[in-house]
This record gives sequence, C-alpha cells and structure tokens, in this order.
Amino acid sequence: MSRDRLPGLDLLGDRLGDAAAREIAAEQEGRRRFRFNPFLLAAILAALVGAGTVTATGVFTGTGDPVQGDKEGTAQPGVLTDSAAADPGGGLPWALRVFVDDRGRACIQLGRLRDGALGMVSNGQFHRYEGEPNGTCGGTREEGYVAVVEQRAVPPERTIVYGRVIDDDPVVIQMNGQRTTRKPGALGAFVAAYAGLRDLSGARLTLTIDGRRVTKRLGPAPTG
Amino acid sequence: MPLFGRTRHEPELPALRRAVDDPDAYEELYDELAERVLVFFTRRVLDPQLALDLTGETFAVAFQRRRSFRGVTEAEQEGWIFSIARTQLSRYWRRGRIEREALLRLRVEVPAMDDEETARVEELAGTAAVRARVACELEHLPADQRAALRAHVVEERSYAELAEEWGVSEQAVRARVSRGLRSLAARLDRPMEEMA
Repeated sequence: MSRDRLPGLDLLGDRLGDAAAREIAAEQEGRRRFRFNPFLLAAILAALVGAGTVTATGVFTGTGDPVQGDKEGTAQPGVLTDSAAADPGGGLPWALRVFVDDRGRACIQLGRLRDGALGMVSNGQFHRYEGEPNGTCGGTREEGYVAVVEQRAVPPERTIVYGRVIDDDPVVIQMNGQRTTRKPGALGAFVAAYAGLRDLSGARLTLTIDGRRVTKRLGPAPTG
Repeated sequence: MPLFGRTRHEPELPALRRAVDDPDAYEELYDELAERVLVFFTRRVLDPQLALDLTGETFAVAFQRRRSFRGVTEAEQEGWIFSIARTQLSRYWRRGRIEREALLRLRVEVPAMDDEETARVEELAGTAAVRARVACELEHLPADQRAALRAHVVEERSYAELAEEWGVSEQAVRARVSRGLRSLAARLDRPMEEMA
C-alpha cells in the first residue's frame, strides 16, 4: 500500500526513528563508559551496606531542612507514587522519585512519601526534600535494571530494596526466607521495605532481563 | 583465510532483531508494518487518530522490548508486533484510555491527522463497511451488553452515571462493557460467512 498520502503516519515514524537513534546512541555510549562487571552490583551493594549509616546520615537524614520551607501538600515532579511500599512499622510509605543527572542518566532517589512529595522523617516530622536531588544513576540502559539495598541504621531500623527494571514482569525479592513480589510501577520502579537491618548474605532478586528470568545476589559477594 | 568456491549465505535476521543496535533497522520495521498496524487499529476503534495513537504506542513498546524478541523470520516478527498491538487494544478497551507510557519514555508525540489523511485511512480500513458490520453484530449481543456498549461507547456516558441510572454498581457496568467489547471483537475477528 502506498503511504504517499499518510503524512501523519510518516511523521510518527520519523519521530520514533529519531527517538530510537537517540536511545541506541545513549546505550552505546553507556556501554563504552561502563563495561559490565558481574561483581559490580554486589560490590556497590556491599559498599552501600557497609556504609549504610554514613549514607543515611550524609544524604538522607542530615539535620533536616527547615520545616517552614516545606511546601505543604504540593506534589513534586518525578515522584512515583504507584510503586510506593508500605512501611513495616506503619510509618509513611517508601517511594522513589526519578530525575536526570547532568550526564543525561536516569537516576532514582528513595524517600518517604507524603501528599505526592518525597522527603525524610526526622524527630517524628516529615521534611520534604529540597534542592538538588541525590540518588543512584544509570543501570537500566546498560544492564536492563538497577537495584539498590539501603539500610537505615537510625531507629526505626529499616532495610529497603528498590530499583527500576525495563521489563514489566514481577520482581521477586528473597530476604531471610521471606519472599516479596512487586509488580513494577511507572517507569519500572519497585520498592520493598523490611523492618530491621537484615542479613543480606542470602538475599536475592529475581527479575526479567531480555526476556529471561535471572536471579541476582543482593548482598555482598562471598569472600574466601 | 579466504574461502574459495563456496559462498555461505546467512539468512538476514528480521528488522526487529537488527534494531537492537541499528536505528535504521527499526525504521525499516516501521516502514514494513506501520500501515497494517494502523489499519488493524482503525478497523477496531473506528477512529483513525485514536488508531494512530495506538500505533505509536505499539511501536514504542516494540522498541523498548526489542531485546526480548527471539524470532528469526518475518512471520514471527509480524506475530510479535501484532501481539503487542492486540495487548494495547485490549488495555484500551478495558481502561477506556490509551497507554502512552512507552511514547512518553521515548519523548515522542503523536502527530495530529488532517481531514485528508483521516479520510484516506478510513478508506484503507474500509471503515464504512466495518461500521455497518459493527452495527449488525451489536444486535447479536445480549441485551445488557448491547445497552452498556451503546450508552458508554456510542453516547460516551460515564460508568458512574449509568450505574446510578440502572441501579447497579460501577463495577457491574464496567463488566458489561468489557464483556460486550470482548464478544464484539471475537465476532468481528471471524470471517463474514461464519456470522449468524
């Protein structure tokens, strides 16, 4: 069939083609910058786990922004509410927001969710995140997923597993014999929150990459 | 070392397989199938602009999931694309709105069709004949489903309004519309001669 009288269909094809070219170029650039190391995820996670308190203090809890600066009830852009996870102690849910860093990478930041805004809870008060976002960047283009474990040492202690996947299939987290299934939400985001600082030695994440179910270790790689 | 006297011809993979790292292959895929996908949707939603939106989302999803495609023939590729198209159609009927998540991720806006293109697509899809057939097939549906489809799809009345008028739950109205659409789609997918 001739397409000579379907300019809208042709224009859509041009736009999709341009987008595909951009995406493929970005993927190739990402691969050049970041060659996959099968132990990288475990190493990053081990670092995060080992530095859990530092991360919590330096990035997320801090001294807390002034509450009077909080734009009460105003939703923030990029907050993914549909993948929010209930807090095991009944506190505010845990959720992600997405942003793009100055290198064009998609990033995710974890926080507590209230009225569509992301922030932290300190001394029983919610402090909405203000200023430049801070989070984990890259991963999905290179590997098809990004997964992070954070351990919050400030009481009430929590272990949170979160990330993004490209495929829509459920993500299964195995944590100390507990099996948690999450259906990825918008932008493939998933979050699961656990009470306490969990032993991650047997923790696993099962997800779909390129049509195959694969299982990844969540804890540090075994030594020795 | 060069080989003499023998040339090995590797069959070329379908465009979708090559599109993993080749944007030109993705455009080739679009050129091969986009018009047929557009006609597929137009025959089912009877609205060329809506069909173009669904076509865009179908190809955006195909791009995002291209690494999942393992087929080696054009027929497998076509089956895969139309499988995505049927899923998009099913979601549209179930939710009453088009999914645009994949298009948003690719930051692609679907262009608006002008009157001439709309008429051309309707001609390609044989929409007039399909409309007549839909009207005919509608009469074969159970009365409650027929009424639900007419009220919600044709007259564009909300689920809440119909639930109140009919004294049933919104969920019951949704179920009637959903069942009606599925029955209608099943009947429309059959050749004419099989129709009662």
